[in-house]
Amino acid sequence: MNPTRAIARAGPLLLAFALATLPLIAGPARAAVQHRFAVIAGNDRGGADTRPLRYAADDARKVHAVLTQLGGVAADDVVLLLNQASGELWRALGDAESRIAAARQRGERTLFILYYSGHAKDGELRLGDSRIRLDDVKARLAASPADIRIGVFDSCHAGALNRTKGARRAPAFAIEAAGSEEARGLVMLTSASADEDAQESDEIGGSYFSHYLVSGLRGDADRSRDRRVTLSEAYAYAYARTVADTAESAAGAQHPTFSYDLKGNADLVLTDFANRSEGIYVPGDAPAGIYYIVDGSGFIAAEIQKPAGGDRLLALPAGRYHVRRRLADRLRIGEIHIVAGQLALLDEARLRDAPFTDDPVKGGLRDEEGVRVSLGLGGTVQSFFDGPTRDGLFPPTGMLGLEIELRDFFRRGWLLGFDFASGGTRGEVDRYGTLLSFQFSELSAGTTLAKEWRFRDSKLAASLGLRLAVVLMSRKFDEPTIPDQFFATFTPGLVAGARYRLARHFNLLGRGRVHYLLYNVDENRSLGYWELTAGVAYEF
Amino acid sequence: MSPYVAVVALSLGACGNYSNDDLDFQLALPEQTDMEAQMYLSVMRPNSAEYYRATRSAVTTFNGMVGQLVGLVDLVRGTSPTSRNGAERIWGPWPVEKYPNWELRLVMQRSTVSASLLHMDYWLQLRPVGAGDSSWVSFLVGKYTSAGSARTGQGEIHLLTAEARAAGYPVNDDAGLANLDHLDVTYDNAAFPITVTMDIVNLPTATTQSGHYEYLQNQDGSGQMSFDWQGLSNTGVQVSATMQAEWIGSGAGRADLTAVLSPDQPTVVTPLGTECWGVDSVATYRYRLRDDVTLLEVASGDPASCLF
Repeated sequence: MNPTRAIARAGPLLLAFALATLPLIAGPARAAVQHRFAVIAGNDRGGADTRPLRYAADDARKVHAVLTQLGGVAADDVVLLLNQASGELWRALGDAESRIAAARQRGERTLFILYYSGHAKDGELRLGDSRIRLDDVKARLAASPADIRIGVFDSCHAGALNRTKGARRAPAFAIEAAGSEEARGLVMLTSASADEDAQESDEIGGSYFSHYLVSGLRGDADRSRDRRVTLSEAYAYAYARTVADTAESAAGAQHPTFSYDLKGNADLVLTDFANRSEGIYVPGDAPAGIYYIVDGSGFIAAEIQKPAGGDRLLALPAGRYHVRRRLADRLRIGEIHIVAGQLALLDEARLRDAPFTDDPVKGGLRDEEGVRVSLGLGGTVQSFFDGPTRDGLFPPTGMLGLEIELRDFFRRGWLLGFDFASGGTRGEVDRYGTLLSFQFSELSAGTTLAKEWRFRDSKLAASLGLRLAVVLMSRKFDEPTIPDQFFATFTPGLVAGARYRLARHFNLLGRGRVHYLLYNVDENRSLGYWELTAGVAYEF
Repeated sequence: MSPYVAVVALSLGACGNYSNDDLDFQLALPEQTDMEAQMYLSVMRPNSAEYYRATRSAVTTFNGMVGQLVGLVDLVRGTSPTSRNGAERIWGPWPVEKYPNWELRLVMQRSTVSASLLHMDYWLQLRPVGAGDSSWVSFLVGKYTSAGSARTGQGEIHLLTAEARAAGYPVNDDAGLANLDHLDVTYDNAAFPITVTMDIVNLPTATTQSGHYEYLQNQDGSGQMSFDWQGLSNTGVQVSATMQAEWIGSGAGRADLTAVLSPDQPTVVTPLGTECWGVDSVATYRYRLRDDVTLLEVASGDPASCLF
């Protein structure tokens, strides 16, 4: 029997024991002695019959950051693929294999990490519209020339990768280690079991598993307190936090899995910040709880699970961060500045109470998940560009309108809107010195398809798209002998807009439109008009 | 419209009658107020002056005929053109309500007299239903040139009853047109004094063979109306009579009646009488030389009360 399988089958107790005793028995292999390579891929899109993910690419960025900052992976040895197709991934794997083979020829020990965050379905990784069979990925990883190959797959049903190797939904695993023999072989981590969905969270701004993996690698998983985070520490931490946080979710608890086929007995150090004093230090007397460290763009860079009486160290790059700790009835928030090369002390006295509405995490957009429907009311000013048209044919008009918007309806970041507006004004037309006064009225109904960009460090979102409207314009002359006139047509246009979140359900709207209108009663004339709209919307 | 533009317009679903050019056509059509006589008349009293009564009757008749003419073009005033083709608008054809075997249309054409003037010609035409384009007969012909504004200018209307009758249109069924050969109206309301003339030419068989009206209106409300007619007197003699009336804004005025009593002596004009009246329409001075056959030489009232 393969001893590693035996360990795996022994269950959580043995694994936990192994985890606890591992640092005492054998010092982990140092990251510095290996030449490390990585291919990191994140793809929000999974092609047909999948809904876009929100944070897959962001997760890849975070993993890339932690590995290059703390994981001993040089910038030249890592490839970051964001929303790229399978062909790019395959090429990146080939390049990495060539470089690894060259390193081995030079006598270097090598470690290769493949991280993937994105869709997986029906035994395939989905990278946009392209696909790769899970078995092919696994076979390629197994055949990699690196001494140690680590595959991390944060995707739905990714546990299928581990199915044939006796994967375990266990809180931790450990390499049976009684000495310092260098490990060789393959480790596979997946964020969910074969029959589970990998869940994302707007609360933490990423997938649960990758978020906790990164937080753990930055130091929160360092249970041995040696300022090094091993693979087993990182996995144990990510497993526990992922299961705990998803237990109450609508999709149910999500269980990461692992499998490995290793020879040797040294655990793998993934991040090492023993010689790096740059980060946040939470002293033992600080209140217990979960501290979220929010970066300047509003995303949680990492979190700290602070036990009562214990201190914590989190390695983070220099910069300014928000700190948030959530209590039952309020938040404790504050700012902390990490100076390059220094540890910043998290001082509880510098945190202040704040309502939940002041949550610095991702502005107000964190709860925007799934289709959002909003109902808006606004005022519009419309005017034609052409002076004579404006003066005597279609006068500048004010309108009141109602609009319904569906955001992320069929694609994340896109909105589909329907609007109705009605208005009117007094007008006057001069015909050979005779002034004719009239009441101008307009009805319009339009549909808009727009791409929306949400600025994560604020409550602002901007959009740009196309609108097709039907307008009915009419005028009734004061002169009773002149018949009423009307004109109806479809009019295509461009729309640019912005919305600002005032409160949880209320947005301020601003919108500009430019439309083309073909007028063909007297003669054929191509006309253009603009509209400016301001209003408020209630988001359900 | 080019086929490409038509395709685009169709695809964009553009439709309607929203047109500034149409307004020009609408404005060029005369309205009743453009041509009718404005006379600030007092109420008719049992003792109103005789010539005052005659003047008022003439004004009523004049305005009635103007109303009938305007009524013809009013058929299209409240509706948008059926077709537009550059400088031409056509309303209709529509069936004539009274004679469903006939249909009518109004054609208007704009001419460029100058950039600041609106010039229109128009034709109200009739034809039997189903007849070809060459069968249209003009029943009414008009033209208009603006001056100062689209609503003020010079115009003329000709009612061509004889042509319609000759084409078979049942003109004679209308008692008001049965004896009419043609009727011509000119008007100028560009500036004061506003003038309107109307010439009526009846068929030779009619008792009154022709009539002529001339109306003038000043800005202060004063005005003039002369109306003459030719026909047979009660005694069967061909006579030509003219009444020249003039009034001020209050309604007080004067009228003189003259006649050519002998067709053999058309230049011999015989005064028949004069009347002046006050604002209450009652005669303040009355003079009668004779009626058409009898010498009277009667005068009453104060000639100094006459305003003119």
